[in-house]
Amino acid sequence: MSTSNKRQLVLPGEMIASGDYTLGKNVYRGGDNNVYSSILGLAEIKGNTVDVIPLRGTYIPKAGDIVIGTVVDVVVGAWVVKLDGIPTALLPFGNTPLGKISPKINPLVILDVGDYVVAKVVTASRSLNTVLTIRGANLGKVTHGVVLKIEPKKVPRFIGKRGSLVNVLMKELKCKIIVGQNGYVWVQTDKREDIALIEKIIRKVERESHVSGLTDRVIQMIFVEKSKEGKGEGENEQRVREERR
Amino acid sequence: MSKEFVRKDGRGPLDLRPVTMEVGLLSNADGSALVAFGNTRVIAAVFGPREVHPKHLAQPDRAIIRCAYRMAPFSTHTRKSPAPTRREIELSKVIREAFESVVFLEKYPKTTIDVFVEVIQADGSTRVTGINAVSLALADAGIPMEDLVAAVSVGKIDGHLVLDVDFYEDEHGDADLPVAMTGREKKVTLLQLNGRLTLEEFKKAMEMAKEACARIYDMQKEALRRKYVEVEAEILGESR
Repeated sequence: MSTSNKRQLVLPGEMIASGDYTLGKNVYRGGDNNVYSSILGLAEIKGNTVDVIPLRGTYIPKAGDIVIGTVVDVVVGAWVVKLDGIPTALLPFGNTPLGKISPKINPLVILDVGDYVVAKVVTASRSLNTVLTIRGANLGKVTHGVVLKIEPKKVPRFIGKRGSLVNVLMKELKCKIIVGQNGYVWVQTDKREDIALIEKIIRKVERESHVSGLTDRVIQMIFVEKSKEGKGEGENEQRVREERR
Repeated sequence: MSKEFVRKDGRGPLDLRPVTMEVGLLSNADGSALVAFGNTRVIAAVFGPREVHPKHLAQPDRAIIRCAYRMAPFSTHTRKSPAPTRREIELSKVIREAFESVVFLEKYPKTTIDVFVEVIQADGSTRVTGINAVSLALADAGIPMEDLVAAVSVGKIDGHLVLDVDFYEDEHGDADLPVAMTGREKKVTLLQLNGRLTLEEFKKAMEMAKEACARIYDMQKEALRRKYVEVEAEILGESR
């Protein structure tokens, strides 16, 4: 058995390990008992488990995920929310902070077709039946700001380890950012240049996510771009770097 | 069957035409690839897994693959009518079937994976070139599958077995055998035969196809890696 710390780029059908490993995500065991990747991604052997972290692909809901979707329809007792790619999810009327909605009220007054909504996945199943809720802090209709798109599999990279990247962004741009696991980013600011910067960062994350040290490169980029605006933030960068340690 | 047999374009029996592969060239598709074998150029685009419309086509326990093979009107030497032909419908079906056994469909129930195969320039062996492109596009889209599929055609010209037939050889040859197989285990996912081969010839043709698919499989892996390796090299170069 070998353990490699460096994540290796693997393709579908490539052997990752041979021997008594536990199968993690996106791997399968071939007839010859070796472990193969089923996807384009970065292979990781942690202890006894073999995983492949995907670089591309659609979002698959997990209970507890925060997602940003679009209301597309209303059916009996629920809104239908599109989360991109996968079959639409349901947001029952009962799962709003209001509790039950009286039948006399038109549900479209609360959430209209076309509205973006920040929701939490309550139940997700293998058959891709998804139920959402907007009961909870920071959940509900998107009221202002902009919603940007990011490749769903790059969302963890954009957030960074324990939120390290997105927290720096929020602090430095003095705005609030909510990231939906399904590949949407709600930026709550009116400053156009900040939105443009975040858009630029998203593209950088998508392009470079497979090379280690991404968070550091992006943080450096934030300060370079910010100092271009005429504010000398040299010490700021130092401060943030130390805080992260 | 002598090794010295020289073909119309100067190739030996075991030579492929010059191959180029490019991955991710379409920004609006989830995965895409362009593969060229000589003058045959095919673009494959993959969308999904996504919701199925019309809904009744959806399967509750697995994803479906929908494939459309199409030849551009300008791809042939006399204009091809844009209306789908019997041949195009058949090829759509066989290409789809070449991948249904490889993709882990059960991971995305109730969804569809839409595959578009567009022949930009046709000079023989378009279906196998299409399969090579689809294989790359599926991997690029991040769709889980057992392995990449590599494909090649074997032809028979004046009693000689040759690899990767072009349009002229297909027209004037005695047989054409397109083969697709998974890269590692060499499991055959497509096998058609136009014309006649003796049992001996067929066995030899399959051996040739196996060897050629191994070569193509390596090129596919290199093409898929290229984008990521380039970005990595660029960043490492900067930081130095």
